[in-house]
Amino acid sequence: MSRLPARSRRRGARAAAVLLPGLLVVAGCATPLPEPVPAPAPAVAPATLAQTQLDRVLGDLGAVLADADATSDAARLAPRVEGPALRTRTAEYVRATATSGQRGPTPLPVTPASVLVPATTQWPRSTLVVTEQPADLQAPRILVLRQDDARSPYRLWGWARLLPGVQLPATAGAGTGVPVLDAGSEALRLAPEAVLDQYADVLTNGDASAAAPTFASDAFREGLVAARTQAAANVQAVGSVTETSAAVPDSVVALGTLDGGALVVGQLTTTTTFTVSQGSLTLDATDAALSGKTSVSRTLVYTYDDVLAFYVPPAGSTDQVRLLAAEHARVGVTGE
Amino acid sequence: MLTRLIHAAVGVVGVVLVLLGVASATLWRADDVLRATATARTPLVVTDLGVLELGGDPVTVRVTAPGGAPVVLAVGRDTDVAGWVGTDAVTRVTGLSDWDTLATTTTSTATPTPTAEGSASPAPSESAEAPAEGEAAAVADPAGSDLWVVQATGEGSAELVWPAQEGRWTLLAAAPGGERPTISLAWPRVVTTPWLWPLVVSGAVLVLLSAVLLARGVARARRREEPLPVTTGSLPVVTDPDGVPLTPTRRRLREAEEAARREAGTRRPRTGEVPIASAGAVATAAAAAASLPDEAGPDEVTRSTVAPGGPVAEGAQRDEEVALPELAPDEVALPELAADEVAADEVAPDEVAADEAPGGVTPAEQAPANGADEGTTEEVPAEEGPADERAADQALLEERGVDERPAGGATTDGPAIEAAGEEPTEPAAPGDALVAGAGPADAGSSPGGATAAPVAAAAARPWWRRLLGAPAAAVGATDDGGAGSSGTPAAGPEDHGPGSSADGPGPDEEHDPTLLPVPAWPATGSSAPSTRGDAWRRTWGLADGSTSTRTAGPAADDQGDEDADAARTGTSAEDVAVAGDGHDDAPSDDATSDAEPDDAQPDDAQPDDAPSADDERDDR
Repeated sequence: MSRLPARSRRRGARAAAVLLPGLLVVAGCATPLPEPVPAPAPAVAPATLAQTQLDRVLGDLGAVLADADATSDAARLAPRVEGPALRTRTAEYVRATATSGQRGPTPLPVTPASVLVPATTQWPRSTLVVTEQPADLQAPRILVLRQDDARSPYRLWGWARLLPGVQLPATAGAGTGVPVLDAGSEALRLAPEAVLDQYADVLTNGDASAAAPTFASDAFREGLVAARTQAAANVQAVGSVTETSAAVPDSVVALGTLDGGALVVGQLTTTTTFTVSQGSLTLDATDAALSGKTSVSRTLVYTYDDVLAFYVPPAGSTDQVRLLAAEHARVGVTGE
Repeated sequence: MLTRLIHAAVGVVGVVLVLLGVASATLWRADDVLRATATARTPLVVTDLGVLELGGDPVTVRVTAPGGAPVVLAVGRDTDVAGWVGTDAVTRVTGLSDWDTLATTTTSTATPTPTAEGSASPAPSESAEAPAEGEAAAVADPAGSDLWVVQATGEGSAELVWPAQEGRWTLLAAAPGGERPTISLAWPRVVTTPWLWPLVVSGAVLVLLSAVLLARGVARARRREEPLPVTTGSLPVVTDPDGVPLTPTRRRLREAEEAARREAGTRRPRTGEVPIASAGAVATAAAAAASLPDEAGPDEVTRSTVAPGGPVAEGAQRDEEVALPELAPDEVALPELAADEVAADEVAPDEVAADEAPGGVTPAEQAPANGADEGTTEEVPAEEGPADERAADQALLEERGVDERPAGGATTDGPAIEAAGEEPTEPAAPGDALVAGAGPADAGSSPGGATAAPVAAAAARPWWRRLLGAPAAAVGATDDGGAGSSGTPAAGPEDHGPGSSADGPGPDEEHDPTLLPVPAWPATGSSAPSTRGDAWRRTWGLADGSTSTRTAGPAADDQGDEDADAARTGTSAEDVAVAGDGHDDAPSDDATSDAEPDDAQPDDAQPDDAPSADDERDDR
């Protein structure tokens, strides 16, 4: 019996050593609550629009446009169209009605060929979508999709048709955000705002403009000048024509390109004023529909919305600013 | 008992471990799905960064609003969601407050920065403009916004599954109608049971160990209880003429032992019995001895029969009946011999006397009835012996009879005694048994009786005395059967020799004193396996040789020690003398054996006889 205590102790120790893992099991079951681990903030903001989002937006836009185009009802454009695009489209609907559909609205494909999605966390934010060629093989359009604030949808703000023979600058691939430049960015040869102002001056003054050497000659300016001359010649017997262009402020969108330059998109408003010295001018159907008059005897003012897309080389470059795309749309006619 | 307890405890510990392991994998196993729920205090709920990936991948978000109000679930970039929410009152889900509840924080328009994180209890400082949480204020509908990457809407409830993706994503849940939605997040969890197999395996090992130990303990206990089987080969057994093994009596055993001792000590050639009796007895004995040579064999056989019977019976081999085939002739002779004796069973001396008369004739008549001669010779001396001796012997035999009755050889002694009927004296009974050996049963009984006497006598002697041998035998007085036993062992070798006569070969060669007696196994098949003592005795020439003389000696003892001793002594001497002519060893052995029993058996008379017997022997 004297051995019992030692034996009991050994047994007790062994039992404890055996049961201890069991107790640890019970204790180990109390795993700690998981804690949220936020992902680190990226150095560069992500693209504002994921591919799915973009597709959804463009799809919606295309649906809206198609719907509105079918009915030539500008009211249906409201969800997805705004700004110059809305005004232009509206005028086009009027023209289509006035001409009984002979001159329909500008076809606007919504299938993107390349996209410039800004990498920003601010509003308003604009996305440039370069569409594919439309069915009649016209020039591709550059769509400007703009979200004015967080709770606003992406709307088509404006479009511009690519000028013939223009090569777009290389930009970040799809899925990667494109840097957004301020309107007064110093990283470009010309600040985006200045680009528009100077181009407007060039359009108005022609080669006499001081900024003329900055811009490369482009077909739009030439065409515009030619049209003006033509118009003057036409109205010379009756009156005179003057045309001025002015940049619209706060409409500039500058998205950086891979070479450090930027794609600057802005709007100009061109006003063509016909002064009738004698006689009257007869308005065509579209103008009559737009102005509500069939003829004017003193003045006639055409208002055009010009959406222009430039490529601005980076600061320090001596390259000229190139106009990539432009749209010159008569959005209003007034006269008396 | 304590070891059993310990072994059982080990088993119990093993079972406990197994149960713990199983429980760890079943009872205490964590859930496969981690679901946490919370009810927002604002129509808008936004999860913090990292909450969507909190418990696993993917997360299943479910939002419900009371009353079936439309609910919207949307996932977008954290900046987008934050920008969308703007300054509206929103409930932020910051994590898990426990395994079932989400931790939420409510911010109002007045305090766009989140308050201290905590459990679901809101701790905002609500501004006056913030609508009371109880009011149902319309909220901008996030449904359809271009900001969301994934969106789900529903009436009353909406569910959204968001796989973990790169980037910072947050969830926006809204009840545009202004209700307070209940949001629940569910993640699949990877649950491991690392304790299962280690505990189960270790527990099973302990249980097996305990079972093995317990089984071994039980087997050991059982083994200890089982007696070790002892196997012995077949051993020759002394049998009566009928083949019934004789039970060696103590007397026989004792005699055999003493004979062996004496032989070993003395190394004297075995002779037949040395009769220590009067002249008349001697004459009678001589006459009887004349026939001895022929019957030496049977006598020796008989003696051998008796000899082993006695000590063997003592040796706890009572169950075995000593049966010597050699007895056959003796038994045959004995029955014939004892036929008369049976009739006159009560008085051993009388019978002896009667036998003696025909004894000398009978043996002569029956060649193989050597034993009978022996018995006769013995009887003659016994008969011739002084009545006092007989009386003394009878008294002694009575004692011995008492011993003999319970002693081994009961089978033979019993019937012998019964055959003899009640005997006035016990010694008479054994003597009768000896004499009555004529009958088949008696034949067996006589040697048995003869054996019984020495056996009993031997039994009466202390074991150490028996071991000591000669001194004890010399004392003789202590044992009645001393003489008989001494005579018996002495006759043993003789028995071997003459015993071999029963077998066939003459006893001469066997009784060469220089040679160890060759064990003469019972020749005929009638010989039943003898006891171990018999075999031993035979091996050492203690049993067989003195059969013929042995019977005479023990017979004489049984009948009446006094008579037998006296008569035998004398007769044996004569016989020895006669036998000695024919057989060098046998007679000597016989003489020695005879002398010894004569000396030992009657305690009173022995001492006297012993020297006389010895003298006679010496003379020879």
